[in-house]
Amino acid sequence: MSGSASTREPAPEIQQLKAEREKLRLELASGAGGRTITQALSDAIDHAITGVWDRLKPSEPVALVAIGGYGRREQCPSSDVDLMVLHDGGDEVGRAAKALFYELWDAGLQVGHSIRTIKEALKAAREDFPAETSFLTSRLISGDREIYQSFADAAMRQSRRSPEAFIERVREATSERRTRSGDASAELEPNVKEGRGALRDLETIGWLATVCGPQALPVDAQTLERAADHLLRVRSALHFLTGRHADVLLMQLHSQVAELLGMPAGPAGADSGGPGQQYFAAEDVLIRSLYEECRSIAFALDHILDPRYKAAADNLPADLREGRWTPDAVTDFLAILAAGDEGWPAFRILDQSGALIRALPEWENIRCLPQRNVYHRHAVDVHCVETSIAMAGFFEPGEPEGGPPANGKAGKRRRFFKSEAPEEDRIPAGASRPGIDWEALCRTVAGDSERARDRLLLAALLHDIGKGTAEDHSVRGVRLARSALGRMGIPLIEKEDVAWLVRSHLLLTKTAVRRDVEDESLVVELAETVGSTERLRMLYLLSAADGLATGPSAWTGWTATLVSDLFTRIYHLLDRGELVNADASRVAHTREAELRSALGAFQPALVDTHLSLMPRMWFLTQDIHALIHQSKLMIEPPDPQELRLEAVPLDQPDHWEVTVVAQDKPGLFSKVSGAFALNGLNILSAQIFTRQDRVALEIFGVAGHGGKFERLQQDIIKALRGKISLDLRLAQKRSDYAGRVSRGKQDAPQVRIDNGSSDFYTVIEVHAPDRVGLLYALTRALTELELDIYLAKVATYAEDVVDVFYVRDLDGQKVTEPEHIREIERLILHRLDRD
Amino acid sequence: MKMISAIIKPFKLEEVKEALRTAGIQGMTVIETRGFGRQRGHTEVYRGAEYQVDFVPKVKVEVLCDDDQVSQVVEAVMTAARTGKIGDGKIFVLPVDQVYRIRTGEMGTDAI
Repeated sequence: MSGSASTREPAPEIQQLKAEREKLRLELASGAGGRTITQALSDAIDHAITGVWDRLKPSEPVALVAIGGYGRREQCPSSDVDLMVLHDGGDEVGRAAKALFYELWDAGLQVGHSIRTIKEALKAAREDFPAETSFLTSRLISGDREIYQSFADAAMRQSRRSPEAFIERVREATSERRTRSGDASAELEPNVKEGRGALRDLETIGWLATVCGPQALPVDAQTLERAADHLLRVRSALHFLTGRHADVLLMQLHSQVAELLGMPAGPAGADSGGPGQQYFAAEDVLIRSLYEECRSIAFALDHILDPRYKAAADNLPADLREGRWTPDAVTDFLAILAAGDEGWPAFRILDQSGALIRALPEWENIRCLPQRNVYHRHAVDVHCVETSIAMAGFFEPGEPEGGPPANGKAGKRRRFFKSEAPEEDRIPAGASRPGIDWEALCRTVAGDSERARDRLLLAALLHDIGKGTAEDHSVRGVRLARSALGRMGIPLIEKEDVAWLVRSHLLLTKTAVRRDVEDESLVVELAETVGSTERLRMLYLLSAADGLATGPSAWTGWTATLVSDLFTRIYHLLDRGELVNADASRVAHTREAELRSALGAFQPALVDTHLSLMPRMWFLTQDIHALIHQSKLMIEPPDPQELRLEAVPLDQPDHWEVTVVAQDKPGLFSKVSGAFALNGLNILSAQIFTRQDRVALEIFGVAGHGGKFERLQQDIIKALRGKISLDLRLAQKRSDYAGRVSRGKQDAPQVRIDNGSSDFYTVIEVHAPDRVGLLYALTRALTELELDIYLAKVATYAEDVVDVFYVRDLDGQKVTEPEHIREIERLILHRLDRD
Repeated sequence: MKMISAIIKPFKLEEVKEALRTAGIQGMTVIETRGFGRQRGHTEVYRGAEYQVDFVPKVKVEVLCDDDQVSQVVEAVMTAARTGKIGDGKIFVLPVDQVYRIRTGEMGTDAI
């Protein structure tokens, strides 16, 4: 209300209009149809305008013309009143028209106003597409009929001069509008006026019929009229509730609009999902009904504008059209999915005609199902198709080197969410990347997964089919997917792969963001769950496709970097196979179970902690008796100063197995090794395992005289406390032994530092001739360079020793700096050379 | 009033959120971000092909508190977010001149 002339009483016609509007609000709440409301409102406005004009009109011939929506009598409560004052020249018209407009504005009517001669109107139509189309549905409200008719005929002739050009203008405007205003048939906050499938789409169909002649429509007029009526109801409700010209059905308004329109809540129709009934609140009924109507409208308009639809309809195989799954039908269906974006017309034809539901009743679960969360943009069924499109896109050739072609077309692969393309996509090659180039990785992985393409497309299409009830949709989805795939006659192995993907489709993404992927045990566990590199690749692609199809905030460079990191870690474990191949898994799990029962005397919590924190390698390399024995020694964590030592004689005389358990400290292994040497015990073999709570388990195979293990234990403790210097003592001892160690032909010692074998540790491998105190010297060198030994394996072959250490630096990272690596190599070789 | 701004490892978010709740902080802002300190970016290797990652994904958590709560909040975040390995992150304590609640116009402590 402008309030500028508030001293003047509104004209009686205006007051009547206000009363009428209030009355219509009540009628809407009582169930009056959209046409009824909008036509009544339109008539009331006509009456008001005519009343005011009668007082103001000039003597010259003038026509008051309703154009656009007002011309069609589709006035919503807060719609603009599109009014044109048509004249033939004359001095008084301008003044009278302005007076009319002012009075209407003062009364709070949003009047779109223009004062034109016929010539000016035709010029406006040539220059402005919205003007042109608004004239196609014009209506005389009051005034000179002849002027009006001349204008209407001339405008129609002008548009009809070139129907092809008109269609082109329509195509361009429609495409731009839909991009700007979204998809009313699939989005959570549809724009009921400008969105795809909404009122403007419907008007567009009318324009095309008017200018280009009657169009063959795939949807009957009755359906379209019903859709129009419903949309007008919703739009009117929206206007009444917000008091504004609001066309977007915001989430917070859903329940109010649903209530005003008297939408019923209740269970869904036939439940084809087994247990777990779908129940829809009133606002969901509102949105679903909107989606249904908008899809019909969009479908009709697409048929006219998009030549692909006719081609798709002509080429649609009869089996598919009738919803029968012959082997050919399956092949054709997969071809539609593989076509990506180009497959939409065929898919929509199947959906709209009911063929899809006939063929896959399971699809009913997610058809037109809205998703109420921050991440998802589209209804579930549309999201699933979008996922399948994204998946198809991974298999298409990507953009050529040097960026997109100059004509602007972004190559065959569709760019999702154009306006929200992350900046890292525009980073030139070689520059610093904020996140991983996941598009390149996806393409590569897809290239390795060609054989799995059909399974991937089906998994993408069905991954969310379980949504819509309180049950976990991944679990429910497996049942529905199996059922759907069974109908399609998909062979068992492929079916199980797809079912597995549906079950696990969130695994990578969830884990990557919520768990510490630098924990080898976690990755081992995941690798076992996934089971094969083929499945892992499929899971990765599905994660990416799902994320891309969800929305711009779901699959960003940030998420992609985390998921890709986890992917490569699992991949390496599966590829190398030693820790997670089928045998390894079986052995590890069997041994774990046996251990559990053998450790029954201990507190279950302690046992659980112990078993979950020990590295996989330990389970695999020790036999069950050793595992039990070692567990008993270390299940209760030692005190900080405590050193547990057990020596067991082996069959060979003077050979022992010595097990040491202590809290891990830098240099522990080194000092223990040194103490052995000091006590005349030659270390023939050693294995180190570090439990994740920093308790070290060291198992030595030694040979030597005496077996004075109490003395050994004391020496270790003293060395750990710094009370003796192993360096000094061992130097003395070595000079004693110098002549006694046999020296045959010896290979030069070798050091290899390997960062490729493990994602979790740097692996240092040393080959050297055996000598007293060798292990001490080596581990001393590692300690000096601030390396933490997590696992180690030492073996002696005749006179040569092979030592493998799994290390990390003190920051807990692998050693990757070249200078650090060189220093390690040099120091080790130096120490080995000391003789 | 102070703003506590913490850069943490992504998987620690739940724990930090819980710790803050226990410390009496109910509102927070969470931002996905990336960065590095001494923790280096790295190279992903898939079948011989390398994919460079220069910045490591992190999460930034920002909360507001009274001056006398700062040490408690910092302690809570520190304990929850720590793994002992490099890349655990940092906590910044920033002074805040003024705070307003948009809905009501309240300011200062009432707006926290």
